[in-house]
Amino acid sequence: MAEQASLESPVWNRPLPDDPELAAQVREIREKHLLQDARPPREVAEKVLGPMARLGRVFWLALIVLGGLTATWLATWAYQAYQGMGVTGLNRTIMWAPYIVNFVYFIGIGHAGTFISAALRVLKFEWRAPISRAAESLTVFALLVAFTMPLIHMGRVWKFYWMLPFPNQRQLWPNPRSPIFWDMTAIFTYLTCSMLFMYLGILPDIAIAREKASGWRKRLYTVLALGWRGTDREWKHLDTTLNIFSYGIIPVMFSVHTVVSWDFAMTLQPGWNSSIFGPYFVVGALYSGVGAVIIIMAILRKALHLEYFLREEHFNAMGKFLLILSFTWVYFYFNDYLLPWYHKEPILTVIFRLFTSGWAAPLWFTMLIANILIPWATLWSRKVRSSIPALVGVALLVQVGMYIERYLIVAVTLGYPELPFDWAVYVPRLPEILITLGVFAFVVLGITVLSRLVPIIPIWEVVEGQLLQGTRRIGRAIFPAKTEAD
Amino acid sequence: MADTQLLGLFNEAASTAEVIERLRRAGLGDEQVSVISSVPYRSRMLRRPEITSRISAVAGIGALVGVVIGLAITFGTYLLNPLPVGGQPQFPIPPTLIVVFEVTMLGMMWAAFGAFLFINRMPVFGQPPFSEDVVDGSIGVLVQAEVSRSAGIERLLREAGASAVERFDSSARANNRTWIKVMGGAGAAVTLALVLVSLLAYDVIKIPFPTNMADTVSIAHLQGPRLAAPAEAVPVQGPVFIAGQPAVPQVASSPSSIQRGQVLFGINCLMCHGEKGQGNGRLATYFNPKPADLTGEKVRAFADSDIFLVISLGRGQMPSLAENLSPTSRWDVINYVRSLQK
Amino acid sequence: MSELETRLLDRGQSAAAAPKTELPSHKWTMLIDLDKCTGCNACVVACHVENNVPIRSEREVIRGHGQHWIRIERYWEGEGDAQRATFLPMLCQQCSNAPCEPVCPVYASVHSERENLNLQVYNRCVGTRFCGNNCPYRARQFNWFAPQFEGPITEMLNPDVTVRSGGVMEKCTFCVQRIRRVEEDALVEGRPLRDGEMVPACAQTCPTSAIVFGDRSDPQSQVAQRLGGQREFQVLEHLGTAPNVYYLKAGGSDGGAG
Repeated sequence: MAEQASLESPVWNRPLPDDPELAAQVREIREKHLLQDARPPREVAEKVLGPMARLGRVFWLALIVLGGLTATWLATWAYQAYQGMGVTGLNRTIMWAPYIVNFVYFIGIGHAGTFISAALRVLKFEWRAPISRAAESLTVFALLVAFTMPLIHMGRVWKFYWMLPFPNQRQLWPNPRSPIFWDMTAIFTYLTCSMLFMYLGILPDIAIAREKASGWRKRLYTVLALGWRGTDREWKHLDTTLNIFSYGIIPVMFSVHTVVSWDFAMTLQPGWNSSIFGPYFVVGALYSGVGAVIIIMAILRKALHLEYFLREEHFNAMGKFLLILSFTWVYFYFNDYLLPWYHKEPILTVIFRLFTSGWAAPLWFTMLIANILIPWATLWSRKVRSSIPALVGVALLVQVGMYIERYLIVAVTLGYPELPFDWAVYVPRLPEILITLGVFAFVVLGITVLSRLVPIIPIWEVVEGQLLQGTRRIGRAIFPAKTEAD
Repeated sequence: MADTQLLGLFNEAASTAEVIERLRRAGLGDEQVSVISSVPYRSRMLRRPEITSRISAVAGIGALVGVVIGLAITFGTYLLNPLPVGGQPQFPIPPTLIVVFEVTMLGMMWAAFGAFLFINRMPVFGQPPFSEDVVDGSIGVLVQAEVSRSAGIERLLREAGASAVERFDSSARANNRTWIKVMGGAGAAVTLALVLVSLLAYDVIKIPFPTNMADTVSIAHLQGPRLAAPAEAVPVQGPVFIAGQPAVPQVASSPSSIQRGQVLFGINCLMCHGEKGQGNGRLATYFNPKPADLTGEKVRAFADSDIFLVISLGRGQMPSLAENLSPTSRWDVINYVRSLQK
Repeated sequence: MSELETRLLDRGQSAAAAPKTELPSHKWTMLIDLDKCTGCNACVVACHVENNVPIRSEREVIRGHGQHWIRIERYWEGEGDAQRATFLPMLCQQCSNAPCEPVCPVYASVHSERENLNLQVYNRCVGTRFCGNNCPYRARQFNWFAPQFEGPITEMLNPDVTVRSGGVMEKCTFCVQRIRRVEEDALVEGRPLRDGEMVPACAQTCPTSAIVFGDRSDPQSQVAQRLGGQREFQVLEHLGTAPNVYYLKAGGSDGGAG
C-alpha cells in the first residue's frame, strides 16, 4: 500500500492502491497537486528543457515587436538626453512625473519575485517551487529597468557617476543624507543580490541542462554551470548560501521600497510627507508584483507548455495571496486618506477633492474599481481563482490600478504645492510615452529570452519537493501530507 | 599509493543509505565516500554525517566588512565634505544607519557567494568523476580507495544493488592549479580595473575635456574685440568705448595727427605689421596667423572705433597697446593707418 | 599708464597692506513691503538682466518651462466690482533650514553659514530635481533646455555671473556676485560694510522701494529697524524652513497681499 511516504521505492514508481475508491482518490490527488504527481526526473527535465529549444512563429514575432519597442526606448532616451529634459511634459511645479512613476512601479513588481522565492522558502511554502524562478526573473529585469529610470530623468545624465562614492582627487563625495543616495545603495544591493540568488538557484538545473544539451547550448551551459556535479558537499554549501541569501534578502526587500518611499516622504510636499509611506509602498509593491507574477506565469505556461508544472493549485494560491494583499493595501490606503478627509487641512483638502470630484476623479475611481472592487468581488470565488483567464484579467486590472495609484501620488499630487499660484497639471508627451512602452517591452523581452536560455522551472526543487511529499490514509480517505524530512 | 575512484549508481535513497552503512562497516572513512545526486538529500536520510559549511562564518565577516565600508562612506563624507545642509547636524545618525544597513547586507551576501565559489573551487576545471545517469535521478556513491581494495568495493556496491559501477583513475579530478590561475587572473583583472579607475579619478591620467564653466557665453564673448555700439545707439555719456575709462572723443584727422601717428606707428606697430602696414614686418614670420594686413579689405571695413578697440584691448596674439599709447595717441595712429589705406 | 591700471595697482597694494582677516559674517535679509508693491514686474526684468537668466519663448512659458528667479504671484480676490488683485513677489527665501539642501545627492545645494545664504553650485548639479520638488515655495528653476542667447542679447550678459548649461538647477542667490564685490571692496579698503552698499538688482530697480535688503545682524541697518513690526509675516513659516525673506502685510483696500 502506498499511503505512507517511505524510502522503499522511487516516488515516481509507486503503484496505485488496489481498492478502487482509494485508487480514485489517489489519482485525483495526483492530478491536482504537482508535488504528489511524481514522474521520473528524466521526464520532468524533458518537460522543462524540451520546449526551450522549440521556437515558434509567435516567439519570433514577439522578439521583433518587443525588440523594436526596446530600441525605440533607447533612441528616445538618446534624443531626450541630447535635446534636454524640456521635450517632456514636465514643468517648474511638477519636476518629477513619468520616469519616477515607472521607477516606483518597476521596483514594486520586483518585490514579488523576491518574496516568492526567498520569503516563501524561509516559511517553507512548498507550492512556490515551480513559480519561484519565473518570479525571480521578473524581479531581475524589473530592477534593471528601474535602475535606468533615475538616469533617464536626470538633467545631466552623463555626470551620473558623481552620485557614486568613489575616491577622487577633489575629495568630492555624494551626500549620504539624500534619499537618492539611499536609493542607490539599496537598489544596487537588491539588484546584485537578486541576480546572485537567482544564479545560485539555477546552477543545479544548468548542470542538468548541460548533460542533455548539444551544440552551442551545451557549451553555454558548461560554462555557466561552473562544473557543478551535485556532491553532498556542494549541496550543503548551496543550501547554506541559499539560506543566507533568503534570510538576507528579505530585510533588503523591505528596505528597498521603504527607501524608495522616502524619496517622497522626506519632502515637504503636501500629500507626500506622510510617515505611513514606508509600509504602504511595500505592501503596494507586493500587491502589484504578485499580480505581475500571475500574468508571467500564465504567459509562460502557454508559451512553454508547462501545464504539468503550473497547475490550478498554484494559480489558486496566488489568487488567495492577491486577495490578502488587496486587504492589506486597502488598510494602508485608508489610513493615509482618512486624515485629509477628517481634519480639513486646506491643501490636503484640495488634493483630496481633486481625487474625489476634480479632474483626477476618473483616474481615482478607476483605481478603486481595479484595486478594490473587482478583486474583492471576484477573488473570493475558487472558480475565478482557478480559471487562468479570469485570474489573469483581475491581475491585469490590478496592474492598471497600481500604476494609476503611483501616477496619482507622483504626477498629480506634486502639482499642488502650498502656494496656489504654482498649481499645475502634468500632461504626458510623446517621449515619455515611448520610453514607458519601451521599458515594459524590455521586461517582457528579457523574460522571454531568458526562459528560452535557462530552465524557467526549477527542476531540482520540483523533484526534491516530490520526493519529500507523501500521502496519508485516514479511514477510507487518502490525503496529501507533507513530511518534514528535516 | 595510487588511488582509484569508483562510482556506484543507485536507484533510490533506501539502497543508497544501506550501501553507505555497509561501506562504513567495511572500514572506509566518511571522507573517502561522497554522494552525487541531482536533488539534495538530507545527510540523515542517507546516514551520512552532517557537513558543516563555513560559508556562514565568511558571510559574517563580509557583513562586518560591509559595516566598515558603510561607516567609511558616511562618516568619511561627513568629515571630508563638511558642508552644512538643511540645518542638520554634521554627523546625522538616521541616514548613516540606512546606508550602513544596506552596505552590510551587500557585504554579507557577496561574501557568501564568493565563499560558495571558493569553497567549491568553482568554476571547476578538469573532469572529476561524474555520470550522466545522476541527472536522470540516479544517486551516485563515489568511493575513493587504494587500487588493491577496488575489486572488493566494486563487489560490495553491486551486491547492494548498484545499477552500474564506473571506474575512474586518479587523473579524474578537479584541476585546482588551473582554478587558482584563472581566479588569480580574474582577481588581477578586477584589481587592474580598480587601479585604472583610481588613476583617472586622481587625475594621474588626465583626460583633457572642455569644462563648460570656462566656456560660458557671458565671459567668452567679452574676450574678443567687442564691437562698438552701433551708430544709432544712444550713448549714455558720450562715446564711451571701454568701460571704466573716461570717454575720449575721436581726434579729427589732420596732417599733424597723421605725422604723430606715423612716428608712433614706427615705434609700436611697424615691427609686426610692416612699414606700409601690409602685415609683413620683421616679426611677422613668428606668428600664425600672420599679423593683419592693415591695407586689406577687412581692416578697411572696420569702423574707426573698431580699430581703437583692437589697439586698446588686443586681439588674438596681438597684445593690448593700452599701456603704450594714450587714448589720443591711439586716434593719431588710427588716422595714420587710414592714410595708408588710401 | 592708464587710470585703470593705476587703480588696479593701488587696490593690490592696499590689499597687501591690509591685515589678512576672514570675511565677516552677515545675516542677509530681504524685506518686501507688500503695501508698496504695485506688481510692476520691474524686479523680474532686473533679475533676468543681472543674473543672465534666459528668456524663454512664449510657448515654453505656457508649457511651464519659464525661468524667473523672482516672480510676482498674482491672486484674484473678491467678485465683480469688488474684485482686486493681490501681489506676492516670490523668490528664493534663502531658508536657514532649507529643505532643498539635504536632498541633493551630489552636494550641489549647500548652506553658507557665514553669510546665511543657500548656495547652488551649478557645475556640480546633475539635474535630479529633488531640490526643486522639496522647495515649498517652488523658487527653484530648472534649465529644461540649454539657454540660447542669440545676437546682440549676448551684449547684455553680466560677466560676473555664469551662464548655466541645460539640465542644471538655478535660483535667486541674493545677487551673491554683488555681495562678493562689495565685500572685497570693503576688505581692500579696510572698513566694514555700510548699510545700503549691498543692493541686489531687484531692490535697486524697484520703483517704490518695496524691496529692502540688508544685514539684520547690524542693528543700525534699515532691515533690522523695520523688522519686528505688527505687519511682519513670513510665507509658510509653519513648515519650519526659517526663511530670511520677510514680508510686510498690506494694509489698504487695494494692492498688496494680506
